[in-house]
Order: sequence, then C-alpha cells, then structure tokens
Amino acid sequence: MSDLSYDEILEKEVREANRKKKMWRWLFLSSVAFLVSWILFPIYLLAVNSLSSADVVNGWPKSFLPEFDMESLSFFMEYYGVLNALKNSLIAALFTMVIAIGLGTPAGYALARFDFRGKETFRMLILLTRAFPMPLLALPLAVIFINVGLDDSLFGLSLVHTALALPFSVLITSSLFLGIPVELEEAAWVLGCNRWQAFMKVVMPLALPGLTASAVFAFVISWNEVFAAAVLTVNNQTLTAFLVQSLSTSPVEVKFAGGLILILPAILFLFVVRKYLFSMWGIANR
Amino acid sequence: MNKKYYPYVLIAPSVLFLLLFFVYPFLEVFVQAFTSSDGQVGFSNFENIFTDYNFLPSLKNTLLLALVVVPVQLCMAIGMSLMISKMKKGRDTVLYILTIPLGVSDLAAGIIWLAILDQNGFLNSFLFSIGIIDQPESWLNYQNPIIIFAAVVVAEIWRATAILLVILVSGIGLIPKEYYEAAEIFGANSWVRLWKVTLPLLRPSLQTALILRTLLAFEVFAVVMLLGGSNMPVLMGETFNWAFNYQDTGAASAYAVVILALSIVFTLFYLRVLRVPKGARI
Amino acid sequence: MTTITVENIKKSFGDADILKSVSLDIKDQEFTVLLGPSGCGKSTLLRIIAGLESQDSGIIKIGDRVVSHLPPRERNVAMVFQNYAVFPHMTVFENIAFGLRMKKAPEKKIKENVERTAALMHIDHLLKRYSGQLSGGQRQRVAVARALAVEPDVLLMDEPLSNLDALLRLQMRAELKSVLEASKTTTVYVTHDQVEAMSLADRIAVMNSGRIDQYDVPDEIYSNPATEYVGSFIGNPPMNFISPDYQVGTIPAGATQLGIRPEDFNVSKEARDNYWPITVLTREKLGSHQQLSAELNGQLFRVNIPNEIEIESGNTLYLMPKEDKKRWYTEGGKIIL
Ligand SMILES: Nc1ncnc2c1ncn2[C@@H]1O[C@H](COP(=O)(O)OP(=O)(O)O)[C@@H](O)[C@H]1O
Ligand SMILES: [Mg+2]
Repeated sequence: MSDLSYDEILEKEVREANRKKKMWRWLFLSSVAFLVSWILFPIYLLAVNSLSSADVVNGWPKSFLPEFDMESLSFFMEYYGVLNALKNSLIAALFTMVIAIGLGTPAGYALARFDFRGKETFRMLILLTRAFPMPLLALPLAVIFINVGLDDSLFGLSLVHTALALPFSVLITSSLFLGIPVELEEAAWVLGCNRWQAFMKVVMPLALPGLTASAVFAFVISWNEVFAAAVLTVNNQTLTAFLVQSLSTSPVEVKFAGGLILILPAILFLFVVRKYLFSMWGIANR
Repeated sequence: MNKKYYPYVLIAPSVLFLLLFFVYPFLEVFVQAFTSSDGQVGFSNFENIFTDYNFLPSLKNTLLLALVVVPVQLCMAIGMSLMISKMKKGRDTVLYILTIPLGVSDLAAGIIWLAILDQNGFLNSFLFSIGIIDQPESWLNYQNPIIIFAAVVVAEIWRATAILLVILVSGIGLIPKEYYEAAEIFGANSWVRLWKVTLPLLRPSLQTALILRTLLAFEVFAVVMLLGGSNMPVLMGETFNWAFNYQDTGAASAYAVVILALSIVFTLFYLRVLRVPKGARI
Repeated sequence: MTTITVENIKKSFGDADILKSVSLDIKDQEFTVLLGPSGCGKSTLLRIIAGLESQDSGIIKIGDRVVSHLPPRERNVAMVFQNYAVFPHMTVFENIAFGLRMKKAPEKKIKENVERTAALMHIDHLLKRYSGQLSGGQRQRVAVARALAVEPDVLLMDEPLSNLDALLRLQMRAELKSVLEASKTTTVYVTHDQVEAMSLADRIAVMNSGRIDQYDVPDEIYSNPATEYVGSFIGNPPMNFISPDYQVGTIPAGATQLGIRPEDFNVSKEARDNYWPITVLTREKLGSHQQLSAELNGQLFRVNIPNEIEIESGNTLYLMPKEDKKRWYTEGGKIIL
C-alpha cells in the first residue's frame, strides 16, 4: 500500500464506489422487470389460450403466441347459460355499487364531519366486519331469503355483496370528505347555502372522482365474489357461480375464455381508479 | 330538525343494513350450526363434520396453506414495497401492474394457473421445448399432493400479494424520510435501517395487512377446486360442498363456525403480537 | 484536526442549478453558519456534506480525507434535523444510544455517553419515555443529545430551532451556544434567521441562490457586506442603497451605489450644508430607538434615530451619511474596497 499515493488509493475507492452503485442499480432494475413479468406473463398466457381455437387449447405442445382465433371466445359466448350469467354478474355488481354508495356516502360524511355519541361504536362495527369471512354470511341468508322470497334473486345476492362492500365504501368516503377542508363548506354556508346545497355545490364536485373510485371498488368486489354467488343463485347464476358450478362439466376452452372475461373488466376498472388505490387503503388501514 | 340528530340520520341506513345483513346472519350462523336437522339444540352438526373423513385434512390444508403462503407473501410484499418506495420514474406504472391481481378473483387466478400447470399447459410445453420432458406430464393428479399444494401456493402468492403490497406501500408513505436519513447518518446500513426503522414503524400496517391476508387465506376455495379438485380439501371448500352439493345447511354452518373461530383466534394473536406501545407511534 | 473543505460543489435538480460551484474552508472547531433565504440551497449543501445527497461535481474533505464518494455512515458526522427525527418507536435512551450501538461501542461506554449528554441537555429524567410523550423542546434536546453522544468529527444542523416557539427558541439558542462551545466540535449550522446566525456563528457564509456571496466573521458581514445582496439581507432594516446623484464629495471610480446602514446617518432637524432634506413617510417607535422610512425625489431611505428627536410623518428631516460608514458598490453590486 505504501507505494500507492493517496490520490491513487482515492481513485480506486471512487471507482469501487461507482461499481457498487452500478451493480445495485442493475440488480434493482432486473428485480423490477422480474416482478412485472411475474404478474403480467400468466395473464398473457391466459389470453393466448383464450385467443386460440379449441383444438389448439386442447392440443400439445402449446405455442406461446396467440393465433388470434375467436373460436374459443365465440364458443364461450354461445355456450349454454354464459350470456345470461354475464348479464346477471353485471346486474348484481351494479346493484351492489348503487346500494353501497347510497348507504355508505352519508355514513362516511357523518364520520368525517360530526362528533357524536356512538361514533366509535359505529366505527368498531365497520371494522369488525373486516375481521370476519363475510361470504360465510350467505349461508344463513340463503335460508332467510327463502322465507322472504328473495331466494335465487340478484337483488338478494347484491345485498350480501353490499355487506362486503359497505365497510370499504364508508371508510373510503369518510377519508375523502376528511380530505376536503371543512372551511370550504363553511364558506358556502356563510354565503347563503344550506347544509344540503353546500354539500351538493361544494363538496360533491370535489369528492366525485373519489366517489367514482369507491363505486368501482364496490363493483369489482361483487363482480369477483364466488362463494355467496354460488350459494345464493341457482337459475340466476352469475358468471363466477356459473364457472364454479360447471367446473367438471364445461370444456376447458370455456373455462379459459371465462377466466379472461372475468379478469378484463377488473383490470380496466383498476386502471381507472389507480390514483385512489392509496387513499382507499391509506385510511382504510387504521 | 335538530342538528344534533344529523349524524344519526346519516348513519342510520348503514347501521340498519349491517344489523340486518351482518349482525343478524352472524348470530344465525351459530343458531344453525347448533341446531340439528330435527330441530334439537346441540352439537350434532359438529359431530357430523368432525367425524367426516375430510374434516381433518381440510383443517390441516387450510392452516398449512396460510402458514406457508402468508409469511412468503409478507416478505415479498415488504421487498416489493421497499422497491416501489425507491422508484421515481415509472413508479405509478409498476405499482399499477403489481396490483392488478387485486381485481382478480381466486376463481380467475385458479383458471390462469390451470392454463399453465395443466397437463396440456404452458409449463409442460416449455419443459418439452427445452428437452426436459418428451410427453405431457400430469402434475396436478392425486398422486402428487405436494405438487398440488405447491401449485395452490404459487397461485395464491401470485393473486393475493397485491393487497399486502398496497397496505404496506401506503404505510411506508406515512413514514417521514428523515427517520431513514437520521438512521443513515448515525451509521445504519440499509439492512439495519430495514430492521430498526422501517419494520418497527410499519407495525400498524403490518398488523392490518396480516389480519386481512390471513382471513383471506381461510376463505380460499375456488383456486383449490380448480387446481386440486377433491384431492385437496380446504375448510371453505367443504363448507361449499355441504351447502351446495349435500344441501346440509347445519353442517355447512358448523364449518363456518370453525372458520370464524380460527379467524378470531388469529386476529387476536396479531393484535397482541404486533401491539404498538402507547406514545411510540409516528 | 477536523477541518471541512468544500471544493467547487455543483448540484442541479433537473434544469434548476441549485448549487453553482460552492467552496468553503471550515477550520477545526469552527462554528460556521450557512445563512440565506429559504430555497437558496443551504439544506442541499448541508446534505451533500452529510452524504445524504450526492453532488454532481466537486469534492468534500473532512480533515485530510476525501469523503465525497462515501455514504454518510463512513463520514463520522452527526446531524440534527429540522423536525428532530427522534425515532418514535424507541425510548429517549435508545434514541441517544442509537449511533453508538451502530458503531458497536461497548455497553459501558454507551451508558456513560448517553447519561453524560442527556445530563448536558437536561433530559436525564426523560430517558425512559417515548418521543410521543415529549414536548417539541424536549424532542429538540434529544436530537442534540443523540448527535453529541457519538462524539462526531463534524456536527451538522439544519434549522434546528425553527420549529420552536419564539421564547423557547431564544432559550435553546443560548443553551446550544454554550454546549457546542464546550464540545469543541466543528459545526455547520443552517438557518434563515440572521439574528440566530449573528449570535451563534464564528463565521457566516451568506448564500445567494446557489452561491456564497460572503464568508466571514459576523462583524465583517455586518459592517462590510461584500455584495449589495448581503447588505440588503443582513440588518433590520437592511442597508440603504443610494444612487450617487445625491452624493456630494468624491465618488470612487466605478461606484454606482452608496451603501449605508440606517443607524449610520448624522441627523438634524434644521437644514445644514450638504444634508439631504428627506420627507418622513412613516415612523415606528421600537422602544430603544425609532425607525423612519423617508423619501427624497423617489429615493427611499430607512433611518434609525434616537428617541429624543421629535418627528411626525410629513415632516422634513436632514441627513448626512457618516463618512467612515460609507460603502461603495459597483454596477454588479460588488463592494469597492
Ligand atoms: N430532491 C429535490 N428535488 C428537486 N428539487 C429539490 C430537491 N431538493 C431541493 N430542491 C430544490 O432546491 C432548492 C433549494 O432547496 P434547499 O437546499 O432545501 O433550500 P433551503 O434549505 O436553502 O431552503 C429549492 O428550490 C428546492 O425546491
Ligand atoms: Mg432548508
């Protein structure tokens, strides 16, 4: 070492530091690339299967490129019961969305804007729902629904789905309203609005994008739910119920096409709400 | 109307709804579970399911699955959220992609992995093309319970890490960056910073994430049905079978009570283990 | 021997050049204050010295050692942050011990150092508490104790007093001064508060959008501002800059501005030769003196006068700058010596 001058040692150190930095950067980027493909590649493969003819889907070995043959998808669409199931899924999800937002928004507003006795109890009730496997509640409800004539109805199903979605909708909207300064509302009151007008004219426009996001969230919860849907619907099956109940009878290409159809709207919706992903969980966290 | 009543009016619909569709059926599950088919109150439903040859395997599989999947996912989610928090360019895109599985049900995830792991699937095609096998192997049959289990684990990791990721990323976002900088100045390398700063401060988020994820693991059934069929019974799947195939609501409710009991035990466990002392919050 | 040498440090974020070739020579045991308005790059410079930010070019030396390529933990520096960054999940004791634990110091030494610095900062009764149970001022003390406990070569502080309320700030300032004087650690301290800078610093580096305009002892900074910018940043109210049109007598070659502090005028209520007749616009009584703003043909004057002089706004007052206090500045705002 002694025959190396200080400058040379320093230069070596600097080179070493740079090399390390580069190596970390490389490692970092490749793990990002790995994780991204770990998520996307399986979806891609499902798409390849869905965009291939039945022969290819059942054949072997498989090509990793799609044929762009619509046979599987059109067969799926024409397969007995699919169209109806698709329609039912949509209806149940829309019901759920409307009910969850309709009930959840006022409650969220109350949590954000008022201090009242029982507030903590209410919050506990909301949080409690998340400590239970909610789809199980479909079991007793199936019996109850028979008694009140809601059995095998999409409305009945969407009530169960709402029980799943409502806690989220309350927490999300309350965090949304908390994020809108109460001073804006107070300014509107001072300028002559009543509480309702102030809410509609000042708060609503600001909260609308977030409300949309939480509505979409409710939609996706219902769209994806399997257990309650399978237990509660018989003739009015949703897509998930249909797929799960025909697992052993339907041809594989129907499963694959069905899987793709199930995933696509969810991916699109998530893309729409991606900005709110955090505000949804950030507060739904506590 | 008196202003005092506003909040009650606003929450009334939600409260009523939850009483009707959460509290009431929740109690009703117990009533049904403890009511035998001839209307007697007792344990006959539980005797039914406990003596069923699928009960112990399904309990074992469910617990084992949670035990394997949740820790792996937790480590992955921590790594991924640290990665995301270090990113600048492309952060939003990567985050969006990594959270896509949030919108994928366990049914759809099962179908995806079936496409890959099936006898005619992409994994076999790949192994064939690089010359490891020369005819389709059937991996997911009853002779390979371990492979079926592994397949379910992979599918679950693929599907349900996203929820942990979102919770942890938002949790990390709440930690002021000065804490890391202070640790760095006072001599902590990135490994020590992870253990001494990030993870302790992330405790509340870890708690939420673990509770949510473990409960979801107890609810798994469609993935298992797709990849394992009847070769890998799980609690939720058995509940479904009793309710749907055998039309025995009492037994299904008894299963539900078992799942609820597990959920409560684990929730309490996490609440206790990951408790944050008073005054030690951010 | 812990000197700090900052050589031609440049840093930009995107298109914005935040530091434009900054150099500093900080002596052993010296207390240097980086002073400037918010956004001028003080924190960035401090963070580059700490190693939390990397420079685009230039070199940092601590002692004889070049450290600009090293991570913070290999620089043996300590830092006090503006919002304290006292770890919320550790007790006060563990916070103060943190740096020593990282250095794997023996338990005995850790205990000794923690107790000594905690006593020094008067927080020895709080060692078992968490930061959530402390007041802002107490957290501040923990942050300082944590920095002193590691016996660093260099102590860096970024606006450590700015989150305290006014009274506490005064008290902490005095306390910091005596503690740091005793510790004899080379210190770099960032602030936008000139009074804080004047009272604490051995030398002040006045920063002006990414450059150092003047690096000197407080007296010099006050009485001989190197640039028009320094003159108008330091002093309350700041220095007057007066066009030579009003000037009688000799003007140095190249001078375009006369700089004169508000308290450096000869004042008269009656007209005198070579005195400027200024019209008083406002008068503020500040207790120890009165502060006037006044005007002559559109030129604004700020003047401090003794309480004895009775004057109202609208009145005329006669002024002449004291000869030995006149400072001359070039077109570009540089002082002519
Ligand atoms: N990480 C960063 N990215 C982009 N701009 C930054 C960053 N850090 C600081 N800046 C910008 O650099 C300038 C100087 O910042 P700073 O050094 O914090 O100023 P000061 O501490 O003097 O108030 C500011 O305009 C700030 O916006
Ligand atoms: Mg600053």
